[in-house]
Amino acid sequence: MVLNSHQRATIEAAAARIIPADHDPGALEAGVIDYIEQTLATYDGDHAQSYFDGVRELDELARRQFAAEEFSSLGPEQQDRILRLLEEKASPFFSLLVRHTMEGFYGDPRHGGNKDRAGWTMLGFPGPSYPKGYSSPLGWYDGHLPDDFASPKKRSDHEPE
Amino acid sequence: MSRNEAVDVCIIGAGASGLVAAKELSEAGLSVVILERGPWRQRSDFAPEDEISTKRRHFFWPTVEREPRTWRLNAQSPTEFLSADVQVFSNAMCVGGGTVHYSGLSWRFHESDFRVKSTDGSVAGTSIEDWPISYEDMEPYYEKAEWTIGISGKGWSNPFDPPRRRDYPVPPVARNSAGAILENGCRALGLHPFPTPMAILSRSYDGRPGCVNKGFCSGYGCPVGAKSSALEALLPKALATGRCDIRPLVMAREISVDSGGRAAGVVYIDSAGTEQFQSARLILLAAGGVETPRLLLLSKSSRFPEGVGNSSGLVGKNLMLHAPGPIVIAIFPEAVDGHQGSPCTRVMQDFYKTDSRRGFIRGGFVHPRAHGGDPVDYALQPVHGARWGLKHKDSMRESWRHYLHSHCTGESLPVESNMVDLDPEVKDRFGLPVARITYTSHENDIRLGSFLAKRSREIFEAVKASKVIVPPSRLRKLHNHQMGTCRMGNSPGSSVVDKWCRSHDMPNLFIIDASVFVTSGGLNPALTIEANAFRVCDYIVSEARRGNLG
Repeated sequence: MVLNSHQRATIEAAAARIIPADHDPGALEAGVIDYIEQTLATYDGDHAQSYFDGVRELDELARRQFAAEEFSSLGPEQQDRILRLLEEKASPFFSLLVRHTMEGFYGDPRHGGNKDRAGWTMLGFPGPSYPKGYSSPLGWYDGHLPDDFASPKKRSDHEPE
Repeated sequence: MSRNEAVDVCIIGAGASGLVAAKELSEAGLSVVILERGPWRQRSDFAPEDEISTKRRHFFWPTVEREPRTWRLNAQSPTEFLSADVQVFSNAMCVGGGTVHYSGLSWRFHESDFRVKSTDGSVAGTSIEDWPISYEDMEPYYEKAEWTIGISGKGWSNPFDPPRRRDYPVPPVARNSAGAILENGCRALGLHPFPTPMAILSRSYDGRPGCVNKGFCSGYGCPVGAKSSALEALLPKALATGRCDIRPLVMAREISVDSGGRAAGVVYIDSAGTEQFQSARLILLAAGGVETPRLLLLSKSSRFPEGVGNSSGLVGKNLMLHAPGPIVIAIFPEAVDGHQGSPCTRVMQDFYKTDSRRGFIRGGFVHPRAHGGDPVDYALQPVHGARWGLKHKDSMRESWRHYLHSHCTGESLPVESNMVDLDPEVKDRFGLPVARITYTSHENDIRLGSFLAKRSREIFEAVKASKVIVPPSRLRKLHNHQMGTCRMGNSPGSSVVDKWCRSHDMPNLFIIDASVFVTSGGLNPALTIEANAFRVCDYIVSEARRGNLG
């Protein structure tokens, strides 16, 4: 694990504000934190320090703004205010957090996040279709608008010769 | 330095043009070695529909850490490193090059594209010239490229298309909703939509299977094998001759010159970091519009202090990256489902010819496309009214199945001060100066880009888009269409290669990629790169048979 338990709890709480739960799961339920852990342990190893510093900054702001012990103990509205402060000052850590949260929520579950395909289910993306693919009509408009070039409506033979 | 056995031909770069040459020349009986900086990946390596591993983690595109490049607006402005998001607009470093991950739009340039100066005259601040070849010279090779590589399309369906003698080898790929929207929006406006010619097979051809409409094409390798990349369509044929040796993960460092002033061979660094020398009778440079001039400029010697092939001083000059049209996003009330089908299935060319009333010359086209799938990319677009929080989540939930984006591709005019040269400070991991790009879009390009964005809006509104978002044009720093940096011409003083793409300075050095383009056309360049490489190879083979290659 790249993050210690405090760091993990802090980032998990922050990500849960980037994509909050409503009637659909949010970043917390989709396990975005596991994506972040995994990417920091592999592809994004160079970014671990940004997270360590980011956690310190979130806690520092929680102390200064709300006299709280730590960011993760704040309520959602207070957490949002702190995140907005970071966004307004164009914090690189904040951009990284947004990027990783989106990747962990909307990316392939094989990378650790998007648990139970929560992000994909919300979008209406059925997941990778290979090798089956799709047959016409492809989307509502293809099915409902005239086709002057009458491309074959049956999927073409895709087996090798 | 270890020395390799001499071969007939050494090709630098295994992309669109390099693999055409590998196939053509090895089939003609010549021995060929191809040097490629990137890895050799196969169909089975292409993780299907995984945006994270393919796009977010630069499976194809060079990362800024590993392959840095720099950019500046002009010679007076400060130089910066190209950022990761700009590097995405670069070409793959792998066997097959950009054709592995391209969308596959496969155009013939129009007749006027080869004679812009004669058609439109001169424009202040540009170095417009006619090409030393015409569409008629290219026509048989376009046909050869379409049939060899495997392009789908419907011949004569585009009223603006240049003349052709033969239809495409396979019919168009299945229309999807982005195509249906373009087709019907254009009809409503009196424009002329037609099925996009695509390097994606609609049915099995030449031993490869047809498309299954699974989406995730642009930026991805095709696990089906239906995308007609140089990797799929050309390399196996070259390898089947037994005369083609491909060496991935090697970096060409210098074209060395013999005492007679001819190219003697290529010095390269192999994957173990050892310097090797490959001697060859002919050198074909096919490393793309940025790396080709870089290698020539790196090849300095007392005889060629400004680099090999550079007596004109034009190596690296006249870089063209296509007009900086914005990527328009449109949201529709019903589902577009952009994760289904090919990237572009309907298109039009009504705005291709110069119309003096528009306030610019030349033209381009609008290609509304399904997004291909990428939900992370869409989540990070600045179109949601909020970057995060419930508002962002709502926007994603409501619009992901309903949006498409539209690219605006237009001609960029050649400007001599737009160029590639060697960065005086930044070095790559081999200790070689990196390519520094100096680029300012000409005013004509900017006007053309905004014009195409407006036309996109009209087309989408004609099909009752609920929202059309036209972001401001991006500053063009790099693009995967990289052209013009070793222009072709009849005069050694004003061009780098002759009409056969042979260096004016060195009879056994040919440059066969898009560096030789004199003007850029307003169309994706891959098929023109390939057709031109077929043309040049015909010449090389006929010269070889006459014993003229030394």
